[in-house]
Amino acid sequence: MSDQLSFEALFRRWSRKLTLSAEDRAAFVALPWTLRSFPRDGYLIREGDRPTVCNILVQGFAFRQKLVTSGARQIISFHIPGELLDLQNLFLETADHNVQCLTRCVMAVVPRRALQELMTERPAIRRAIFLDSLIDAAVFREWVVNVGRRNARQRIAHLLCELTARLRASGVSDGSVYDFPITQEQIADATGMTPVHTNRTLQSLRRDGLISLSSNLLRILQWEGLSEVGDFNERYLHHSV
Amino acid sequence: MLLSPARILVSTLVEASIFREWTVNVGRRDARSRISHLLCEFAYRLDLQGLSPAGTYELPITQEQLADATGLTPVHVNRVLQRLQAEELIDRDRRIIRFPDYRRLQDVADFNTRYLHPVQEVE
Repeated sequence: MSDQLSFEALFRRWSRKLTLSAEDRAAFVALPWTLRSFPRDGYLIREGDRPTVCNILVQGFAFRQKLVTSGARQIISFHIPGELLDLQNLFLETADHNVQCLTRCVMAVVPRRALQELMTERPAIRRAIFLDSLIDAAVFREWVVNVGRRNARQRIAHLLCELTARLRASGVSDGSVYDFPITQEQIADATGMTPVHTNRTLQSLRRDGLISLSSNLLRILQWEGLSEVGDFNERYLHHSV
Repeated sequence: MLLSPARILVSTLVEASIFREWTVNVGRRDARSRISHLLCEFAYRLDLQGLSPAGTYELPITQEQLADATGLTPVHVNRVLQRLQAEELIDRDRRIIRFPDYRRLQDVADFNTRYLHPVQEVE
C-alpha cells in the first residue's frame, strides 16, 4: 500500500471540513508511522494502559468499549476507515476504555510525540484534530441520549442510521447496502439492550420493510422511514462545519 | 490565564471521556449504581475544584433532572434516593447532600476516577 493510500480516507474526511494543503499532507505522511495488522476481536488498547502511540484506522472496522463490575460490556462507539481511534491518548496519560477490532484491521500507528509536534508546526492539522475531538464528543453525547431516552426500535434504527450516514460521508460505501460487521450481541452492547431483545427489534425493522439483513449484508430499504423511526438527525455528526 | 491549545484540547478530551462514561452508566448499570455514580462524579468534580469543603455538597439538581441524567423515571429516582438514604450511603437535607460512607458509595456506584483524568501532563 502506498503512503498516500494509507491516509486517503483520513485526508478525504478532513478535507470536507477544512483546507489541507499539499504540504500538510506531505508532512503528515512523513511522520514516523508504521502499518500494523490486527486480528478480528484483537485489542489495540486496554483500559489502564499508558499508550505512547495513536492509531489511525486504515482498513476494517473497530469499536471502543468499557466493562462494568458486573461484567457487562457497553460499546461506546464504532469506527470506520479514516478515523483516529484514540485521540485521547495524544494528551491523556492513561487509557480510560478498551479499543478492539470488529474485523481484521490495518492501523497506521504513529508515535504520539511526533503527532503532537506536527500539531504545533501545522495549524491545519491542529485544527483537524481539534475538530475531530469535538465531533467525537458530539457523537458520545448522542449515544447517551440514544441509550438513555429512546426505546428499543429507535435505538437500533438510530445506530443503523448513524453508521450508514458515516459510511456514506466517508465515501467507503454509497450507504444503501454494505457489509455489516456487527453481531447482534454487539448491537445489544451498543444500545444497552439484551441480545434477545435486539434480535426481536431487528426482526420488526425487517418486517416493516425498512432494512434487510442477511449473511452480514445490510440493505437500507427505506432511508427516510428508518431515519424517522430512529429519531435520526445527522446534525451531531457535523459532516460539514 | 491564557490557555495553550494543548490545554484546551485536553479539556475537550476529558469531556469526551465523561460522555463515554455516561453512556456506560445509562447503558449497563442498574438504577442504584447509576444514581450513586452520578453523585460520586458530582462530588469528585467539586472536590477537584475545591468547591465543597468538609464533605457537604449543595446539590441543585431536581429529582426530575436526576431522572433525565440517568435514563430513569422520576418515581424510580425517588425510590432509589430513599433506599440510598436508608442504607446510610447518602444523607440529604433539602439541597444539601452528604456522603457518610463515600468509599462504600463508590463501590455501589462502580466508580473509578480514571475517566476523569485528574492528573494530566501537558507540555
